[in-house]
Formats: sequence, structure tokens, C-alpha cells
Amino acid sequence: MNIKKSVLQNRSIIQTVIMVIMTSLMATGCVTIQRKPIAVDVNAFERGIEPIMIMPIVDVRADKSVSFDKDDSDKLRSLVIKRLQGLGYSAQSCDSWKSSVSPQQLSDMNEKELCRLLPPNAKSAMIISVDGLRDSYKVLVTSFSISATFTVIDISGQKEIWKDAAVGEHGGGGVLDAAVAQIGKRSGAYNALVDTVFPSFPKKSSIPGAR
Amino acid sequence: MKQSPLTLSSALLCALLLLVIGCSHPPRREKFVPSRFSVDVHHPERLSVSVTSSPNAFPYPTAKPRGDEVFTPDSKFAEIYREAIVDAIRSCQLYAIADDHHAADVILDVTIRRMSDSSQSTGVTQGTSGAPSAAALIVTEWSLKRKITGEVICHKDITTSNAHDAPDYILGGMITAQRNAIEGMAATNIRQGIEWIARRTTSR
Repeated sequence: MNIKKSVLQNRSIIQTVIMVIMTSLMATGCVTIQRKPIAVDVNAFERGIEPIMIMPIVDVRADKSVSFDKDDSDKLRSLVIKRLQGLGYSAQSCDSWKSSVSPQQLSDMNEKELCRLLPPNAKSAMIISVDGLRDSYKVLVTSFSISATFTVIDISGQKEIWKDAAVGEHGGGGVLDAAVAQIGKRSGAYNALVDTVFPSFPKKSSIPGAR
Repeated sequence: MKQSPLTLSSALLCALLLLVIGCSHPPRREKFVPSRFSVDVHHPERLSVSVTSSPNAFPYPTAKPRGDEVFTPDSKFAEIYREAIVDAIRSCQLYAIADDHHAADVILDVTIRRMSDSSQSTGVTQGTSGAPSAAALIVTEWSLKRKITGEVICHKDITTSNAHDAPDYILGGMITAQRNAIEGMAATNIRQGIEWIARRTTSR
């Protein structure tokens, strides 16, 4: 009798432990947590950062076996502009640097050096560096990933005022999923990248005294 | 005696959870040291290296990263990183390595500013990736200074991603794939940082 009671008690303890573990795992997965940028200077945002010029994308990859052409660059920049506009900022693309430089040279420059190549009529500029691309298709699994760093530079102050970096991925597994994902995987990855990064960009309405 | 199906399934479930959560492998120092690289410049000054981790290195500070020993750039991780930089600089002879901080002519401060994998990047806010991989990135800030004057010789963020060669997860190999991804990425980041210093100090 006592053995039966003890078995039942053990069962109920195990059930409770499992319930607690499962509930905490579910709760962790469901909560959306505010993303933190690598760097942000809120004072610079208060002084005003518009218009933000979105500079040509800098492809700093060592391995360029996966293509990243002008169409891709335009798509990504247009997503960024839309996202910045959604956050309340005026942003526009700028199609050239003030003088011709290689991606390697751009990549080696610090903020002060970069400012010499940025349009003087803008208050700030966003530089997007693509650090890695991956395109994989294996029988029933397809995926595309892009890794990029986003930096906003205050042109007059010659310093970085916001920075974040992330990997955006899109793909699918299984016959139907993989086939569908194969078609829109690049756009999906660019969207995932922008969706990941921009929650850390301060909304204009949240900046006190933003002009 | 009859085995309770509930007890058996509970034990299996617990074992599975432990396998996924608890068995993360710490990164290996020797894998952080970049191989097959050289620089054209060699400075006679003695260098001291320090590595710290920014509080924002993990983009979601309140969330528990998956495989936390691998992904949290804590003081142990920073120390492994520092030792790997010292080993790499010693092997390419860019600078002589000072025995201690006081004996150094030049100081290299490296800060780990961001470290994340794609599942952390996209999985916390949405799940867009149907085919997860071990794609990840690391951003480190490198600042080279003269010890006596404090003059900054060069200063730069180095971003490294392994997106181009990240392995796909295979059943049971998730944590190993993540560890390998972090190790490969760290080695590339260190190589990029040292090559950048070499380029910037060539004309001095």
C-alpha cells in the first residue's frame, strides 16, 4: 500500500517538474525582447539626424562566390528606406561616394575618413557592409543567409551614432516548403535581416526634442 | 515488476532536454588561432593585448542564449580570445609580445561588441528560417595605442560572419555545429584584425 502511495507521489512530482519546465520554455519562446544595438548616441538623435543618406552597399566579403548585384543592393536599400520612414525619419539613397574607392579601402576606414566621402548636404549617412552571403540548396532543404553591419554616421560630428549587425536567413525544408522558399529566398533573407536589425533603431517619436 | 510508461517517458524527456540545453561544449583556444596567414610588416616594439566584452555583446541581454557557454562572451571567453590574439601575433611576428602590461610600448585593446548566431537574431522575434544553420557573426573593436603618450595609432571595428560557409545543423550535431561556427568565426576575426593593423602600420 505504502509502495503504491510513494509511486503515485513520485509521479505527481515528475509531472509537476515537467509542467514547470515546459511552461518556462514556452514563456521564453513567446516573449518578444527589445533588441539592443551595438552602439547608440541618443544625444545625436536629439540634435536631428535627417535626412539620412543611404550610401551604396559595401561588399566586404572575402568569398564572393555568391552573387550580390545592383538589384540586390537596391532591394536591400529600399527595404531600409521604408523601415526608416516607418520609424518617422526621412531617408533617401545616395548612389555614389565623393571619390572612387575600393570596398577594401572603405572597409579599412574609420568614421573620420569615411566622412570625407559622404555628401556634405546630409546630416547623417547610413553605411551598410555586407560581410557574408550563403546560398544553399540540398535536396529537400534550401536556405539563403546574409550577414551585414549597419552604421549611421553623424557627418558634422564625424562619429558613429548607431550601429547594429545581424544575420538574416530564409529557407524551407520538405518538398513543398523548399520549392516555395527557393523562389523568394533572397528577398526573404533581406526582409529577415531588416526585421532583425531595425527594432534596435530609436523611433523618432521616442526621442525627446527630436527635430 | 512493471515499469511505469509515464516514468520512462519522463526520464527520456529529461534526458533529451539535458542533451539540448546542458551539454554545450566550451570553445577551444587552439581553434581560435588563425592558420595559414602572414603579414609583410614586423615592428620591434613590445605589445600588450587586452580583451573585454561589451554589455551589449549579446543583442537580447535578458534572454538566455542557447548553448550559453558558447554564446555568452564572458570573461573566460574574452581570455581565450586574448590568448589566441597573442598566439597569432607571436606567430606572424607583427609585434614582439611584452611579458607584462608594464613592459609594453604599444597596447592593443579589443572589445567584443556583438556576438550572435542567426537563431538568436531571428528566432527571438520571429521565426523566418525554415532551415536553420549555424550562421553567426562577431563584431570586435580594435584600438592600437602608444602606451606612454596614449596616442591612438589606429582604431576600427572588425565584423566577421561565417554566413558563407556555415554548416547546416544535423540531427544531434546542433551544439557542435554552433561551437565550430563560433571558433571558425573567431579565428577569421582575429586574422582580419591583425591584417588590418599590418596594413595601417606599414607606412610608419
